[in-house]
Amino acid sequence: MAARLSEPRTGSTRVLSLLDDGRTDAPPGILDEGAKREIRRATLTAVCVPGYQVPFGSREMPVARGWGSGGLQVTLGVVGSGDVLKVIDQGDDGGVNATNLRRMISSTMGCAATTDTREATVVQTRHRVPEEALGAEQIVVYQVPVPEPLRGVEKSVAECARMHAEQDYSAMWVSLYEDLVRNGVITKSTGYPVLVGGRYVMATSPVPRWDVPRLHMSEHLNLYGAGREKRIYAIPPHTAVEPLTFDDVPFEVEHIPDGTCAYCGSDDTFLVEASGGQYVCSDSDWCGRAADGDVDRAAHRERVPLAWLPDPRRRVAATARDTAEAPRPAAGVRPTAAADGPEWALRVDGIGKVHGPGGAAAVPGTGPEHATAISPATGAVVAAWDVSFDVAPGEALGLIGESGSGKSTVLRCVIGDETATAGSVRLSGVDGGRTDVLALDPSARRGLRVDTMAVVYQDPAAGLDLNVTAGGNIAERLTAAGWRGYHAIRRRVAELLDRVEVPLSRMDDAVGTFSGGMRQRVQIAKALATEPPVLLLDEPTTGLDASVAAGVLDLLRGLLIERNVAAVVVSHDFAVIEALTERSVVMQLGRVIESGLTDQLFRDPHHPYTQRLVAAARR
Amino acid sequence: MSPEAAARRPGQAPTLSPAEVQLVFRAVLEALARPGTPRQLPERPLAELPSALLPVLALSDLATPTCVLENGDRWARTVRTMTSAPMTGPADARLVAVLRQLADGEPVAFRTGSAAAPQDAALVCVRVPEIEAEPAGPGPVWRLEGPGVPGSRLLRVAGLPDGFVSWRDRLGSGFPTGIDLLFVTARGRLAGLPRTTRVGEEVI
Amino acid sequence: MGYSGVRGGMSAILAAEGLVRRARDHAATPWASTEQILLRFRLAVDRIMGEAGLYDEAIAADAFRQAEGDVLEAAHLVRAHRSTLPRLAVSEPVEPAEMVVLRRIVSAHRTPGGPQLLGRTTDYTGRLLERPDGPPPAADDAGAQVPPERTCEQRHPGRFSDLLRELDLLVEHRHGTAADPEPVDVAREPARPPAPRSAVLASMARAETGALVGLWYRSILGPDGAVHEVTLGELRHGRLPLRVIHPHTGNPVVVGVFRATEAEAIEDLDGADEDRTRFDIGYGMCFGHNERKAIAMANLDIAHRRFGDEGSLEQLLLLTTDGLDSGGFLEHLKLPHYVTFRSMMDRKLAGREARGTDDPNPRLPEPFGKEC
Repeated sequence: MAARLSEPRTGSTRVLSLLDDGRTDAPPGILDEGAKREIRRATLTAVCVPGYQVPFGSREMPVARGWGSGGLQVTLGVVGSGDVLKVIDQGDDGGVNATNLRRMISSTMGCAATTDTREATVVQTRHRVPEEALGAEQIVVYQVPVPEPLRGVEKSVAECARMHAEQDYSAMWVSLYEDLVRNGVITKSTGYPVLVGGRYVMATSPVPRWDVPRLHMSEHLNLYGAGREKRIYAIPPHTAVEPLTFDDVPFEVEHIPDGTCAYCGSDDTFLVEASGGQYVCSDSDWCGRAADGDVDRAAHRERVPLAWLPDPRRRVAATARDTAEAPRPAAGVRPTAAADGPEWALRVDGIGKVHGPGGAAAVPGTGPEHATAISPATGAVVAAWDVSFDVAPGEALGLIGESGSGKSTVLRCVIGDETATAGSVRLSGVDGGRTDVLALDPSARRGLRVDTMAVVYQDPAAGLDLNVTAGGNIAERLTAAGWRGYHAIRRRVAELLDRVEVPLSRMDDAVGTFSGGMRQRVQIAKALATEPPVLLLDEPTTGLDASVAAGVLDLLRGLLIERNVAAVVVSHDFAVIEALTERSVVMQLGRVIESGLTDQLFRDPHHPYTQRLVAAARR
Repeated sequence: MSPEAAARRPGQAPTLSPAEVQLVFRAVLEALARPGTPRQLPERPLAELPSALLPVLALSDLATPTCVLENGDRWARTVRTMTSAPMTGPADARLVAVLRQLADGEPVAFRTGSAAAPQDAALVCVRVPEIEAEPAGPGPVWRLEGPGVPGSRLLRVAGLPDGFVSWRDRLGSGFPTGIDLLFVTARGRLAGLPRTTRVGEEVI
Repeated sequence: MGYSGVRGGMSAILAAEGLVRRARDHAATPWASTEQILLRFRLAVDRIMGEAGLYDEAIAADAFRQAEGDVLEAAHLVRAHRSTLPRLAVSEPVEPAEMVVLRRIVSAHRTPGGPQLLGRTTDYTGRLLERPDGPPPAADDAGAQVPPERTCEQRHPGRFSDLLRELDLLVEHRHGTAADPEPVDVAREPARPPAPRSAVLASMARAETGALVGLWYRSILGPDGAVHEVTLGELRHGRLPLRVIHPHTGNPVVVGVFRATEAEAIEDLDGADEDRTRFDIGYGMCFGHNERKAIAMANLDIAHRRFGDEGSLEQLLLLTTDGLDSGGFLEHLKLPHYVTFRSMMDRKLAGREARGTDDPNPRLPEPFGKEC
């Protein structure tokens, strides 16, 4: 909120008049000079971080938000009286919207206006890149209604920001995968997502796909303004712009077979419907000059994206057969422990978690000997304290205890779903086991879950997206690990589903349509997709019917035997622990009370609590 | 007093008109969009203001932490008066003008932004004696690659302390963090070095 | 240019503008002066000032006339006007305790500290349509209905929340100056989650009244939402002084007075991690006299404080309540979209071709970056 000052302006006016020199050489503006500075700073950052959406304090323009207010602000920040301005909407200089913006800008900025792309120094556009060649002295300003390319796959803007910051675009790849599975082609039409400079996924304005290749290594500077969403972004000249698609799925531009412009006869421009079933160029400047013979058609043909015309022979249905021997990415290859590395794959030391005040000071007076987890000093809940264990490759360790014993807390601390109050976690695959992964930043910890430490949750919904197909769920992990071949992903998914005994006929069905046991098998397949050296299983069979649970247990037993994975199995059920693990740690009220070889513990439990757990499993 | 400032008539406050501000911005925009291709700042203000101060004067406002590294505080006061910008130390500034010689290995910590907010990084304008694009004469030279550069381009910037390139490379924690640099000669020739540009040191 | 399509050009624009001007400015009826609008359409003017985020009654009134009574359009005119104004200074924080109240009610207490001032309200007037041909005659007993003069004390009543605070019935959020960062100026910094409370409050203060009320009501009858009905602790409408620091003396000086509506919503804490022995308070304030907005804002503020971390409420408040955002985006659908539509048709046909079937009901694609 700001209140307009009704009193005579005081000393600050002096500051401004110094700044502006009291001159009146600029016509009355629709944007004050201070706001322009802010837009200009954001524009510069946009150029220096190509494809990143720079936030700015978007001002209200005399046009509604959604009507080019962002593009208008960028243009007002950029142009000077020496510029020659062109404004197009749908490629057309003559539409009402383009006309209105052009008169508004040129009258307030005192710059010349043109419809001839060749004369323009600044082109403000909605939905098109001009057909004419654009050069080094030209700037194209795009009006952007929706700047966020991830909006379709993630509704939370905070989460979208995180995904950009961490370059975590696997959700985007899953959506492309799902699209191909369901439709055989990528159905994304305009505003096609691109990877800019190998780093940021960016929405292209929306221009048609026809114009997207023009952004790659362009001569001109591209600036994007989203007024409503208050974002400015840019593609500098000579910057790599790749449309997102799998390596073996060609990007496709729009195509009208045998389409030609009814007016100028061009057959290699972006055409739109006209009356009587005819087509015309959407670029009115090009079309008019082409009809007059005032264009270089040969040079234009070099520019246009004929290489990306749709080709049914290169679509996934046609290529599925031909790619059996296509190379598989190296992703999933994990660092093997060096000869002098640790023997364990995962080592947990002194993990503690206190909910509530006091931290370590809350611990005294809690634990099995005090028969409570609630701190007498602070009232905090000591969910786990001083829990240590390690697991070697090819070994499975059980973590057993009743509900509330702290075993799942420990697992969540190891994964990173919860922040530990004390202790350390080391992975032999990370820095040879020298780094405490709890000290890594959240982004690095999330990265570990891609191919270093996978988890299978009790609830499949926690590890899977139920709206996505079984294949898509597994593709999420694979694309996060860098897989970019559609058919390679399909084959890997089929292999995994086959191993976990999910019928391949269900591969392209949404996981939400699966039974509980089948969902859990998909979750296991996803966890194994990148062959992580460490696998964490949190009550993997709890919640399943007994017969289904037995099947999943059999599967897990087989998987743990055949793979050189270090597994931690958390369960309240000694039968599960007994079936899967060699060594076990028994937890009660947040503490380890007994540990040893699983079959010994099961045959000859010492602690009365362990005896109870064993008895329960034998019933 | 800088040679540019010596040309000022005494007693007259320096000025920058909106049209000049726009020209300065456009030169900076083009310089950062095309690293290694120098641009020219508008001439008139060079008579009364140090060239490396112009980008800062054109871009800062009352919400932009700004810093001038100079001998004394004369131009910092000018920036403060002309833009109302809050003046800060180099580590807190979004816009920095370096008007004095940087000492060899002078460790200046600038804001490098973060992956979550790359826009927090500093834009640093450094006054240098000379800039040469695609230089012909022998000597050390930078080979620039990255966005805005077709293939690679050679640039020679004189007067920087030893180890400048490796100092720049060590800033931040990898793209998108870092700083964006502008090099400005006394006569207003301007070259940009955004954080995206990879700089190789060569001798030709 | 040779072909016709969806085109209009300058002549069409000028003709449209001509129609508006003729019908609006030259209608066969007396001109509605700024003063008339100010005095007869006070609440519309106040609402425009609030949604525009600019306190200037005359400008809001002129915008009301130019917008032919469309309040959102008028707010747009005022905000666009504001974009042309330089930012001369940043005001000092406003102290709500300084408010000279014109109206003040506390529904949670029979006799709160200070009087219940009904003030100028139609709350207890039957909503009976009057259709007079001119001003109704002044009532005979007008003298008897003149409200009694209020003392300075009565115009600065104590705050009900202070009463609760004295009884130690309020959760204390004030933790010294360390926890009092500079507020976010949402007109300059785009606020996105996670954002500080000041950004959420400022967004609501500029939000469209109907959007806030709708968001609040959605929690009552909608399928989701964590907001619930609160007890209204304090509702005020009054005048507040605005101060800026004098650039020469360095002292705060009053540069103007503005009217504002203020609301405090008392929340009954009942969450597992909450102090159930105390109440908490949500706060609302907006320009002018707009009680619906201030009350909705106070409700949503406390909901955000309690449940903002868990869900989508913060994003809803920050990004979906601005009338110019939502209205502008909706209206942009009227712009030509034939290039993008052509591209969509291309994909429809490509999908049909790829499936190699005319099955009219293929499995639908997942939503994927849907844009306009």
